[in-house]
Amino acid sequence: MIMLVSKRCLFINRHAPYGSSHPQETLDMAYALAAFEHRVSLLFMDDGVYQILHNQAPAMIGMKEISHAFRAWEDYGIEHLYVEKASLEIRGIGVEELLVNVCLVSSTELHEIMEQQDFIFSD
Amino acid sequence: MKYTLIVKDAPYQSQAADTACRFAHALIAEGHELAQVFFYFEGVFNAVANAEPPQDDRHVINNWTKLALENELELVVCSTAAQRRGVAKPLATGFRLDTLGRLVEAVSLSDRVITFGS
Repeated sequence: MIMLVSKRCLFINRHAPYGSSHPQETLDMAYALAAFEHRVSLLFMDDGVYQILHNQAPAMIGMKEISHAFRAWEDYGIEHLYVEKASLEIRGIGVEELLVNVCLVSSTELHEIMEQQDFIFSD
Repeated sequence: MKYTLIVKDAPYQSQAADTACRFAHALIAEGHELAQVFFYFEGVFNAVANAEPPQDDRHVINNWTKLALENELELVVCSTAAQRRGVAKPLATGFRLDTLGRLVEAVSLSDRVITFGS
Protein backbone atom coordinates (compact mmCIF):
# COMPACT_ATOMS: atom_id res chain seq x y z
CA MET A 1 0.00 0.00 0.00
CA ILE A 2 1.44 3.35 -1.00
CA MET A 3 1.38 6.24 1.46
CA LEU A 4 -1.51 8.52 0.55
CA VAL A 5 -1.02 12.27 0.58
CA SER A 6 -4.18 13.90 1.85
CA LYS A 7 -5.71 16.39 -0.61
CA ARG A 8 -8.44 18.96 -0.14
CA CYS A 9 -11.30 17.97 -2.42
CA LEU A 10 -14.52 19.85 -3.12
CA PHE A 11 -17.49 18.17 -4.78
CA ILE A 12 -19.94 20.58 -6.37
CA ASN A 13 -23.46 19.24 -6.69
CA ARG A 14 -25.44 21.35 -9.14
CA HIS A 15 -28.07 18.95 -10.43
CA ALA A 16 -31.45 17.81 -9.12
CA PRO A 17 -31.24 14.43 -7.37
CA TYR A 18 -33.08 12.05 -9.68
CA GLY A 19 -32.74 13.46 -13.21
CA SER A 20 -29.62 11.36 -13.77
CA SER A 21 -27.35 8.99 -11.90
CA HIS A 22 -24.69 11.70 -11.55
CA PRO A 23 -25.66 12.80 -8.00
CA GLN A 24 -25.37 9.20 -6.77
CA GLU A 25 -22.06 8.68 -8.58
CA THR A 26 -20.65 11.99 -7.38
CA LEU A 27 -21.53 10.96 -3.83
CA ASP A 28 -19.85 7.57 -4.33
CA MET A 29 -16.68 9.31 -5.49
CA ALA A 30 -16.72 11.85 -2.64
CA TYR A 31 -17.21 9.17 0.02
CA ALA A 32 -14.50 6.96 -1.52
CA LEU A 33 -12.00 9.83 -1.30
CA ALA A 34 -13.10 10.69 2.24
CA ALA A 35 -12.72 7.05 3.32
CA PHE A 36 -9.03 7.20 2.36
CA GLU A 37 -7.89 10.23 4.31
CA HIS A 38 -8.63 12.92 1.77
CA ARG A 39 -10.21 16.10 3.15
CA VAL A 40 -13.54 16.18 1.38
CA SER A 41 -16.21 18.89 1.38
CA LEU A 42 -19.54 18.94 -0.42
CA LEU A 43 -21.14 22.02 -1.94
CA PHE A 44 -24.76 22.20 -3.06
CA MET A 45 -25.72 24.97 -5.43
CA ASP A 46 -28.16 25.66 -8.29
CA ASP A 47 -30.61 22.72 -8.58
CA GLY A 48 -28.22 20.66 -6.45
CA VAL A 49 -29.93 22.10 -3.35
CA TYR A 50 -32.91 19.82 -4.10
CA GLN A 51 -30.67 16.85 -3.21
CA ILE A 52 -30.81 17.71 0.49
CA LEU A 53 -34.53 18.48 0.84
CA HIS A 54 -36.68 16.66 3.38
CA ASN A 55 -39.39 14.22 2.35
CA GLN A 56 -38.00 12.73 -0.81
CA ALA A 57 -40.00 9.82 -2.24
CA PRO A 58 -38.08 8.70 -5.34
CA ALA A 59 -39.34 5.10 -5.14
CA MET A 60 -42.42 6.37 -6.99
CA ILE A 61 -40.27 6.87 -10.09
CA GLY A 62 -38.13 3.79 -9.52
CA MET A 63 -35.11 5.62 -8.15
CA LYS A 64 -33.06 4.85 -5.07
CA GLU A 65 -33.12 7.52 -2.36
CA ILE A 66 -29.75 9.24 -2.06
CA SER A 67 -30.60 11.53 0.85
CA HIS A 68 -29.98 8.79 3.46
CA ALA A 69 -26.28 9.08 2.72
CA PHE A 70 -26.29 12.83 3.33
CA ARG A 71 -27.84 12.45 6.79
CA ALA A 72 -24.70 10.71 8.04
CA TRP A 73 -22.19 12.86 6.16
CA GLU A 74 -20.01 13.42 9.23
CA ASP A 75 -19.76 9.65 9.83
CA TYR A 76 -18.37 9.29 6.32
CA GLY A 77 -15.53 11.67 7.14
CA ILE A 78 -16.84 14.65 5.14
CA GLU A 79 -15.38 17.85 6.60
CA HIS A 80 -17.85 20.50 5.46
CA LEU A 81 -21.25 20.62 3.86
CA TYR A 82 -21.76 23.95 2.14
CA VAL A 83 -24.88 25.35 0.53
CA GLU A 84 -24.89 28.47 -1.60
CA LYS A 85 -27.31 30.88 0.02
CA ALA A 86 -28.59 32.47 -3.19
CA SER A 87 -29.49 29.07 -4.67
CA LEU A 88 -31.90 28.50 -1.78
CA GLU A 89 -33.36 32.01 -1.94
CA ILE A 90 -34.01 31.91 -5.70
CA ARG A 91 -35.93 28.64 -5.24
CA GLY A 92 -37.84 29.78 -2.15
CA ILE A 93 -36.33 27.07 0.02
CA GLY A 94 -35.84 27.72 3.75
CA VAL A 95 -33.05 26.09 5.78
CA GLU A 96 -35.74 24.34 7.87
CA GLU A 97 -36.63 22.33 4.76
CA LEU A 98 -33.15 20.82 4.56
CA LEU A 99 -32.52 17.43 6.13
CA VAL A 100 -29.10 18.28 7.54
CA ASN A 101 -27.34 21.18 9.22
CA VAL A 102 -25.40 23.02 6.57
CA CYS A 103 -23.00 25.90 6.33
CA LEU A 104 -24.64 28.65 4.26
CA VAL A 105 -22.15 30.55 2.12
CA SER A 106 -22.28 33.58 -0.16
CA SER A 107 -20.80 33.53 -3.66
CA THR A 108 -17.85 35.60 -2.36
CA GLU A 109 -17.16 33.02 0.35
CA LEU A 110 -17.43 30.30 -2.30
CA HIS A 111 -14.55 31.83 -4.21
CA GLU A 112 -12.40 31.62 -1.09
CA ILE A 113 -13.44 28.01 -0.42
CA MET A 114 -12.62 27.01 -3.99
CA GLU A 115 -9.22 28.65 -3.83
CA GLN A 116 -8.32 26.48 -0.83
CA GLN A 117 -8.89 23.21 -2.72
CA ASP A 118 -6.44 20.88 -4.43
CA PHE A 119 -9.13 19.19 -6.51
CA ILE A 120 -12.62 20.29 -7.52
CA PHE A 121 -15.14 17.92 -9.09
CA SER A 122 -18.44 19.17 -10.47
CA ASP A 123 -21.30 16.73 -11.11
CA MET B 1 4.07 18.13 -12.74
CA LYS B 2 2.01 15.00 -12.30
CA TYR B 3 -1.53 14.99 -13.71
CA THR B 4 -4.65 12.87 -13.39
CA LEU B 5 -7.46 13.37 -15.91
CA ILE B 6 -11.09 12.41 -15.35
CA VAL B 7 -13.33 11.96 -18.39
CA LYS B 8 -17.08 12.30 -17.75
CA ASP B 9 -18.63 12.37 -21.23
CA ALA B 10 -19.10 9.61 -23.79
CA PRO B 11 -17.17 9.81 -27.07
CA TYR B 12 -19.07 11.84 -29.71
CA GLN B 13 -21.45 13.14 -27.00
CA SER B 14 -19.29 16.24 -26.72
CA GLN B 15 -15.77 17.41 -27.47
CA ALA B 16 -14.67 16.54 -23.93
CA ALA B 17 -13.09 13.14 -24.70
CA ASP B 18 -11.25 14.55 -27.74
CA THR B 19 -9.97 17.49 -25.73
CA ALA B 20 -8.89 15.29 -22.83
CA CYS B 21 -6.91 13.04 -25.18
CA ARG B 22 -5.21 16.04 -26.85
CA PHE B 23 -4.47 17.52 -23.44
CA ALA B 24 -2.87 14.22 -22.41
CA HIS B 25 -0.59 14.26 -25.48
CA ALA B 26 0.29 17.92 -24.89
CA LEU B 27 1.23 17.54 -21.24
CA ILE B 28 3.42 14.52 -21.98
CA ALA B 29 5.08 16.42 -24.87
CA GLU B 30 5.83 19.26 -22.43
CA GLY B 31 7.65 16.86 -20.13
CA HIS B 32 4.91 16.42 -17.53
CA GLU B 33 3.78 13.08 -16.20
CA LEU B 34 0.34 11.57 -16.64
CA ALA B 35 -0.43 9.37 -13.63
CA GLN B 36 -3.82 8.14 -14.79
CA VAL B 37 -6.84 8.78 -16.96
CA PHE B 38 -10.00 7.80 -15.08
CA PHE B 39 -13.33 7.26 -16.88
CA TYR B 40 -16.51 7.98 -14.92
CA PHE B 41 -20.17 8.80 -15.60
CA GLU B 42 -20.87 8.41 -19.35
CA GLY B 43 -17.10 8.56 -19.85
CA VAL B 44 -17.05 4.77 -19.43
CA PHE B 45 -18.35 4.51 -23.02
CA ASN B 46 -14.88 5.58 -24.21
CA ALA B 47 -13.80 2.03 -23.40
CA VAL B 48 -16.22 0.09 -25.60
CA ALA B 49 -14.61 -2.31 -28.04
CA ASN B 50 -15.57 -2.52 -31.72
CA ALA B 51 -16.78 1.05 -32.27
CA GLU B 52 -16.88 1.81 -35.98
CA PRO B 53 -17.33 5.52 -36.68
CA PRO B 54 -17.62 6.59 -40.36
CA GLN B 55 -14.24 6.65 -42.08
CA ASP B 56 -14.22 10.43 -42.48
CA ASP B 57 -14.72 10.97 -38.73
CA ARG B 58 -12.05 10.71 -36.05
CA HIS B 59 -11.88 7.49 -34.03
CA VAL B 60 -12.01 8.70 -30.42
CA ILE B 61 -11.57 5.26 -28.87
CA ASN B 62 -8.61 4.33 -31.06
CA ASN B 63 -7.03 7.67 -30.14
CA TRP B 64 -7.16 6.62 -26.49
CA THR B 65 -5.68 3.23 -27.32
CA LYS B 66 -2.82 4.93 -29.19
CA LEU B 67 -2.17 7.25 -26.25
CA ALA B 68 -2.07 4.28 -23.87
CA LEU B 69 0.22 2.13 -26.00
CA GLU B 70 2.65 4.90 -26.90
CA ASN B 71 3.07 6.00 -23.30
CA GLU B 72 2.43 2.80 -21.30
CA LEU B 73 -0.45 4.52 -19.58
CA GLU B 74 -3.27 3.42 -17.36
CA LEU B 75 -6.73 4.03 -18.78
CA VAL B 76 -8.85 3.14 -15.75
CA VAL B 77 -12.59 2.63 -16.17
CA CYS B 78 -14.70 2.75 -13.01
CA SER B 79 -16.09 -0.75 -12.69
CA THR B 80 -19.29 0.28 -10.90
CA ALA B 81 -20.11 2.97 -13.46
CA ALA B 82 -19.30 0.58 -16.31
CA GLN B 83 -21.39 -2.28 -14.94
CA ARG B 84 -24.33 0.06 -14.35
CA ARG B 85 -24.26 0.98 -18.05
CA GLY B 86 -23.53 -2.49 -19.41
CA VAL B 87 -20.03 -1.61 -20.56
CA ALA B 88 -18.42 -5.01 -20.22
CA LYS B 89 -15.33 -6.95 -21.17
CA PRO B 90 -13.68 -7.13 -23.56
CA LEU B 91 -12.89 -3.43 -23.39
CA ALA B 92 -10.96 -1.61 -26.11
CA THR B 93 -7.17 -2.11 -25.94
CA GLY B 94 -5.48 -0.07 -23.24
CA PHE B 95 -8.50 0.17 -20.94
CA ARG B 96 -9.12 -1.80 -17.78
CA LEU B 97 -11.79 -1.93 -15.11
CA ASP B 98 -10.91 -0.95 -11.57
CA THR B 99 -12.48 0.61 -8.49
CA LEU B 100 -12.67 4.19 -7.26
CA GLY B 101 -9.76 3.20 -5.03
CA ARG B 102 -7.44 3.62 -8.01
CA LEU B 103 -8.64 7.21 -8.40
CA VAL B 104 -8.11 7.79 -4.67
CA GLU B 105 -4.44 6.86 -5.13
CA ALA B 106 -4.06 8.93 -8.29
CA VAL B 107 -5.52 12.03 -6.62
CA SER B 108 -3.10 11.53 -3.76
CA LEU B 109 0.01 11.47 -5.91
CA SER B 110 -1.01 14.06 -8.52
CA ASP B 111 -0.28 17.78 -8.49
CA ARG B 112 -3.28 18.48 -10.72
CA VAL B 113 -6.57 16.63 -11.22
CA ILE B 114 -8.55 17.92 -14.19
CA THR B 115 -12.04 16.85 -15.26
CA PHE B 116 -13.35 16.89 -18.82
CA GLY B 117 -17.07 16.77 -19.53
CA SER B 118 -20.30 18.54 -18.70
